[in-house]
Amino acid sequence: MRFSNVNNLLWVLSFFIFTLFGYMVYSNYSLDKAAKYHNSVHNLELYSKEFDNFLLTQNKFINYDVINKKVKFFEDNLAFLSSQTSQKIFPLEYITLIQKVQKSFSEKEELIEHFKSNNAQLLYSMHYLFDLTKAISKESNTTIAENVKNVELNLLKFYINPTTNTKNITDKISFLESLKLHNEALKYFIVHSKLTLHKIKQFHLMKTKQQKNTLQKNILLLDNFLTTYYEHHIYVIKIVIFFFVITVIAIILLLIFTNKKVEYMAYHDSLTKLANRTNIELYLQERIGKFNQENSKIAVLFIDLDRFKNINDTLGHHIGDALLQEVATRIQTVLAPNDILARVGGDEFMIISENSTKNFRPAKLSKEILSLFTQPIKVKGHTLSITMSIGVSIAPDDDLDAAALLKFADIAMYEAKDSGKNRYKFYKERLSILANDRLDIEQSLINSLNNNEFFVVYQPKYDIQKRKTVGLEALVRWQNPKLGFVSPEKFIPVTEEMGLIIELGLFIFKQACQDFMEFKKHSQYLHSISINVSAIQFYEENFIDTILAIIDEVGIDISSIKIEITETHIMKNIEHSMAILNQLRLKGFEISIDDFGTGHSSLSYLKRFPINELKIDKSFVDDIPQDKSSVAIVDTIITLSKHMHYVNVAEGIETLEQNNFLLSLGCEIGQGYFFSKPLNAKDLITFIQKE
Amino acid sequence: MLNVLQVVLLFYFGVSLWAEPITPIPKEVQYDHKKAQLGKKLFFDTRLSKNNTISCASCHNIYEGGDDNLQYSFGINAQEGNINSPTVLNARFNFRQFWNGGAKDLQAQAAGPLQNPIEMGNNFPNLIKTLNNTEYKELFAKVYSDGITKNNITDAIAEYEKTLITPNAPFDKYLRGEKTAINLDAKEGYELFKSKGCIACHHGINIGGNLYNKFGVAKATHSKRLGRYEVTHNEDDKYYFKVPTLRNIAQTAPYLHDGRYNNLEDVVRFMAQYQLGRVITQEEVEKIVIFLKTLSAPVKEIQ
Repeated sequence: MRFSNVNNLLWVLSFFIFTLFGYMVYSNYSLDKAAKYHNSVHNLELYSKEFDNFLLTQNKFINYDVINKKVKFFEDNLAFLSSQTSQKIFPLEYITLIQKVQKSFSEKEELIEHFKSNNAQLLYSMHYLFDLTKAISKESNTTIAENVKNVELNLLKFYINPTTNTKNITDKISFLESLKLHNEALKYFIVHSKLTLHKIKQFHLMKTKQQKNTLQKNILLLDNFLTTYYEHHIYVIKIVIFFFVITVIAIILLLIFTNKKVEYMAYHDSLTKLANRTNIELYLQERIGKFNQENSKIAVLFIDLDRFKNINDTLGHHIGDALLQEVATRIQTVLAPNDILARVGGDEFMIISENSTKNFRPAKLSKEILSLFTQPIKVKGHTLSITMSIGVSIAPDDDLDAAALLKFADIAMYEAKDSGKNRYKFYKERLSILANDRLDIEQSLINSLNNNEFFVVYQPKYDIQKRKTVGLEALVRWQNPKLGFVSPEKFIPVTEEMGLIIELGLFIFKQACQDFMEFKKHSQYLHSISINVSAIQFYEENFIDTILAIIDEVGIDISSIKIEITETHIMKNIEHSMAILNQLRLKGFEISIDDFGTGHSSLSYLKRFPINELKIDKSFVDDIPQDKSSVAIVDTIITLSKHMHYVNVAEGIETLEQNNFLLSLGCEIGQGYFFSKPLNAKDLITFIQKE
Repeated sequence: MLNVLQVVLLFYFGVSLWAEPITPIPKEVQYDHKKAQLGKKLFFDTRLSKNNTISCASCHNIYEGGDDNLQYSFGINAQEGNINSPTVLNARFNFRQFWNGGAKDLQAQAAGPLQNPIEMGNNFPNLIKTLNNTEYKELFAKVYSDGITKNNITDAIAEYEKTLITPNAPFDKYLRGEKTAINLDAKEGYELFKSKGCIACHHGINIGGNLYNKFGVAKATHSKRLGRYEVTHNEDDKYYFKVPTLRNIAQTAPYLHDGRYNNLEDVVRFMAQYQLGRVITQEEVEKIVIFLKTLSAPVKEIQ
């Protein structure tokens, strides 16, 4: 997953969680409200039961304060519930239910009011009956008193039990009425008995009405509705909380994952999934930190693919990438479990191999890796042969510092490359060889000149347009009986340090001049001999006089001698170089700048130098025509030479392709294996005779 | 000797017979001070009426029993009303307001006279407009977030009226245990008040104001007003009026909804005859009146 996608996902999740949270708050608010409504409905239920109780027991209340308060509370709760209808929290059904409750309550209220009035009237009627009965009992008329008590008793029976027959009471009242009324009390008794009977009947009527009242039922409906609503809400809230938790977990996981990914990206190579340079350096430091010198060693293998650049440039990066992946896979097959492989550069790999001294095997490992690639690799339809150069450094033998070990392995790898690629080199081995070489070289050099161990070879300079050898470059070779053939790169620096270069330079100069005189007899085209001169020679006081003496002795034409000096050498001391070069030029020598393009030369100085020839460095020629920048540089140097009227020479031409391309750029002279390798005098004569 | 009726009465009504059916007015009541102050200003303000002549206090003199001592009150332009103004004192303890119970509480009641064409003759849109051009705009803003509205005007007035209580009447002191707070005649009057049956309607904290009862249970009273019927239009409710409070009754003559009697003895006699349907002696009437006079107390003023 890409980072931008992760970020987007995080945003979406954040928005989601925000929405959920908002909904939770809202739901919680709704639930709170629902709980309040529920509470109110419970109050309604409670009071409604008390109303029923009040109406059914129809008695003990002489003080209506209590029941009035309950009616008020009921009204308040109902008002609260109906005020919510305007807020539209609940569906329409709620409003209908509330209206039903309101309607049945107003009926109930009517009943209560009638009951209260009736009850008050009944109460004071009964009080009065009680007073009258007492007054009548005091009189001597027992028939009347008996009948009065009878009426009273029957009224009570009827009051308590509504099914009692009221005929008995009305009969008795009629009987009392039939008596000749001379008694005021009896007259009132009869009136109030009738009244009381009427009130009791009304009570029973109210009971029937009471039973038909639907208040309780409607409140229960409302209660059920709210309970369902409440439960539904709780259910929804549970789901929301569930999603909320899931989202939180998702975000946390995503953040952890992203963090890990970033960490992984920071320490791993995206192409091969191997550790990267940072990672392996940290690992190496860590291992060295915990290093146990007695028991173990750490080997650092620095691997560089040979000519990988060519594959990338010619076949494209996708093939190059696939090749790198395959290389990584193959290398991993030979690694021990503890070994760590990392990709530290474009085509560079590194292995940290840590083992106890017993089975420490960097050499074996290197050999195994090299042998892995004896078989060509098939990548996307291409069969590629690839070799690699491996440099090995070892802790603690070489060093105990991670950076140093890496550097040493790198140096050793270059050593392997220089030695012809497809091999491995140990840093220590190389160092000792170098050290031994140097000592040997110094020792051997002392008598080498006297022993005639040096000889000069010549590499043709070929006019690529006229297809003729027009010049030669003199190159020194050293064949020592003990050391064998030693390359100039190794011994020249030593001779420079020893000062032997002066003598050696004169030997080469003289030998080259003499040989050139001989060569000229065999070719009409040959007209120059290039001789390399070291900067050390420039500082020799009598340098010019000495070589002029040789020229006189040999009898060579000065103008046919080209003094080659490296760009780097000139730039080290510009003023001095310029003075010497000007003198040489004045005497008639031609001046050639060797390895042009590598020495940071300034064009302004170049203009001031008395130059005749520029030699384009081999490193540029190697990469044409594939590498665009090399092409540009070569093209520029050729164009520059033409403008400045310099002869341009391309060094190190190895292929026909290079030759043709340089020809197309307008290059004049080429030098390299494509034409001829350096030849000794005898072979050269044969070579030029063939032309 | 107890007869059967007495036993059953005691069984069924007994609890109330022994427990005092009248409770004293609390010495303190809870109310919102800010609202009450605003309500008090409104209560005494004639700007509430259409022509700036009548205030609530015009018919409810809180220092003289909470009414106007007239048979019928006068509204704007000297229009005479058709009902006796009931007292505003202790009105908070009534279960409903108005003689016919047409208002469920004080707030609902406050809107009535204000809009009655023969009382204050005003209407709320007009009143709100008027008040918004006065100091009331600021005063309301301090108390109510939504400023001057019908609900807020009546709420403030009702809040003030809730403060109008008359605690510490001699009879309340007596109920609280101060045996010498009323004299022997008053005590006998109270016993008669209960035994005659007055207590059946006049009970509770307000000695009335607890139920509706028929005006003329025993005999026809020839009332012009129909009472609760005017609200419910239910035949059963004809001549049923809210039983009025007897607190401060000595200060609230004339009596009954049509103010037909000017002294207490007449109305006590009337009640015995028309409501209870029983004989009452002059001595009993006098004792009951003595008792009734112990129900008066000065209004407790808010700070």
